[in-house]
Amino acid sequence: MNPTVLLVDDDADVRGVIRALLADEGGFDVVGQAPDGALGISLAAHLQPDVVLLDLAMPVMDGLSVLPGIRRVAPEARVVVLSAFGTDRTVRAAMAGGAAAFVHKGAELAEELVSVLREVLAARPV
Amino acid sequence: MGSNPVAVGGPETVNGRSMDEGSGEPGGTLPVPAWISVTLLGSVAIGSLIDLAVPDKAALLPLVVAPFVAALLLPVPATLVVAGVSLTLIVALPQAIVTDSGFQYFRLAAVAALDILAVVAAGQRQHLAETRARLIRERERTVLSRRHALELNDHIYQSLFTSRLWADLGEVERADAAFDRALLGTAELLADLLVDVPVHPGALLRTLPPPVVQEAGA
Repeated sequence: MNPTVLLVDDDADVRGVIRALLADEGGFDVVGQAPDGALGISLAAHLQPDVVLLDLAMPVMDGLSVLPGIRRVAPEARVVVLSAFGTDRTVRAAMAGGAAAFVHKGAELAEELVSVLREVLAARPV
Repeated sequence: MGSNPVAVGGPETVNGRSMDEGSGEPGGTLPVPAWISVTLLGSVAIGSLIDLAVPDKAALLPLVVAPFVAALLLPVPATLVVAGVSLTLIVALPQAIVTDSGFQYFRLAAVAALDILAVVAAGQRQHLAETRARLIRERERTVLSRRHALELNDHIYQSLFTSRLWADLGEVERADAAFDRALLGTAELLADLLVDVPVHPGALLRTLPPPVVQEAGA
């Protein structure tokens, strides 16, 4: 059974291309998508995904506000933050909030994302 | 000052010594004008002002007092008077000859008083007002920067990013569509930023030269 992934990003095109990327790579099942943080928490509670790909700049609740909620309702899920805001301060804030990894939405994402997902899934306690 | 300056305010002592009302020399009593109320507890050198001042105002005192004393072009003694919570600097100015309506001449030692705490308080208020104004400007800059960052992200960066990923996946049409959305978003943002900016010759002058792009293989 493939690891399950929940996408939380307000940009529909971003969700679409990430989903296409994971489908093209194979080995991951995108089981849900949420356009804002509040809905992301609800879906995480319902779906209990293996991985949550979480954007930071979102309406209703931003990613840093959502992080603790997701970890509370889906404690087994590994949260990987995806963001265009890749400053050291942002990365530190995401990791301090409980993210398992931070991937910058940059030119190298296609290569980085899949390897990071495999790393965080391998690091999960059995 | 009244017709008889000697009677105004009653006799007082200055510097712990009585002044001669006729000659102004020590030995007599010279009344201090009623508009100066003095309680003398002793004299203090200027250098001790900082020790006597309220500690958290210590840094301001030299800035406040020094220019005032420096402006007095006279080698005169200064006395610090502490009366309750007030802190008054008394500076003796040269003696003047005054006359009343009866043409009696008197030597008058004019006295200038500077309420130190009032000046310090005024200086503090100005410092606080400047600090507050600076903090407000900084906060406005932060709010504006955050808004610009989010707008650039929403209108331009996300579309460029997805265009790149679609291109990596071989989805040319989708990549082109995302790139076009980035262009449109950029144009809209530029229009929004310039909406209140007057446009006239020189208004759009570039201050930096355009970047030099090296062609691959060149």
